[in-house]
Amino acid sequence: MVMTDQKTEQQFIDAIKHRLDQSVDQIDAGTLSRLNSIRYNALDSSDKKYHHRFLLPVGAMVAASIAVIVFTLIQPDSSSSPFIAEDIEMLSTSDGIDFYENLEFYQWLDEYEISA
Amino acid sequence: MSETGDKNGSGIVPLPYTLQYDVLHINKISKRERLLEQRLELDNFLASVQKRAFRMAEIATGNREDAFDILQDAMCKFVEKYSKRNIEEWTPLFYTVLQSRIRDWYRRETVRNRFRVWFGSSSEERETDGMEKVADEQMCTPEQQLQNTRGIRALAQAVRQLPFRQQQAFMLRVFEGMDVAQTARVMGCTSGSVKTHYSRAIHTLREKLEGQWS
Repeated sequence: MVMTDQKTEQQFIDAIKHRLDQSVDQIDAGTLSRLNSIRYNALDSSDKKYHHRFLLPVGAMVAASIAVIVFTLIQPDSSSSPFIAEDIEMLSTSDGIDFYENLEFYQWLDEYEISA
Repeated sequence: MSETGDKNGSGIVPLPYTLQYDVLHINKISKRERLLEQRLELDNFLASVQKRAFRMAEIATGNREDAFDILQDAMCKFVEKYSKRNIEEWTPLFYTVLQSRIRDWYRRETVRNRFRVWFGSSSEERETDGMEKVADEQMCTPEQQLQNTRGIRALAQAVRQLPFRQQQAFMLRVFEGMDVAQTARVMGCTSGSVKTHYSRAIHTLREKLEGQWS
């Protein structure tokens, strides 16, 4: 009884398998063409990624070079900067502003006393 | 210094410049050949599984376009992640990726169905039965074609009504002809679970289809 049931079950499975295999063999040309196209796309996507992998370090190097060039070109010239050491000292000191307003006078006085 | 050009006395004679260039050139060519060979192997493998994989996705979804999308995703993912693995591993890995994509489709479909219920449309409306295209140019009578088409359609519907794990076990064991261990690997479960799912799937399908398939 059990053997018969197993046999019937196996026949049923074989019949299903046969029909499924048949359905695969009978896939029409249009479907097959789309499947081929999907396959080529998948393979090409891999190639593109492969090439992009090499482009990444090259791109990084180009970007770094451009950054260095731009930084060098726009770096301010320290000799032409208005912020010279005296100005910084003047701004950071706690002396009254009157002193700096009469600074030219004090400089003249200093030179006069030296020459005298 | 020896007369053979062994300048540093190490015993290794350096190759002349032209020969060094030739060696580099040959290495480059062999590398390119290896890449082409790998691509050809991959192409052959995908060509060998594409029809069955498509049919599997189509039976699972009941929709041709969704089956194409699933196959596209699965192939791209497989090529990207697993193409460098050993060829012996490709089949189980590919079907693991494919089953993962089908499972994702089921999850999205569950969410979509909730919306369809709210908006009053049925998921059956979306089904385009690609199985009708089967056997249209084969050497069989129109009656046989009709019978084949009906048989496959009934099978596909019955399989779709199975719980997902039972579907997987059934399709991988019967359609792909995998053994229990391979199926367990693809499904990510134990052999015992595969046997249980498979047995239940067969039992349900026999109840539904035996009259048509015996």
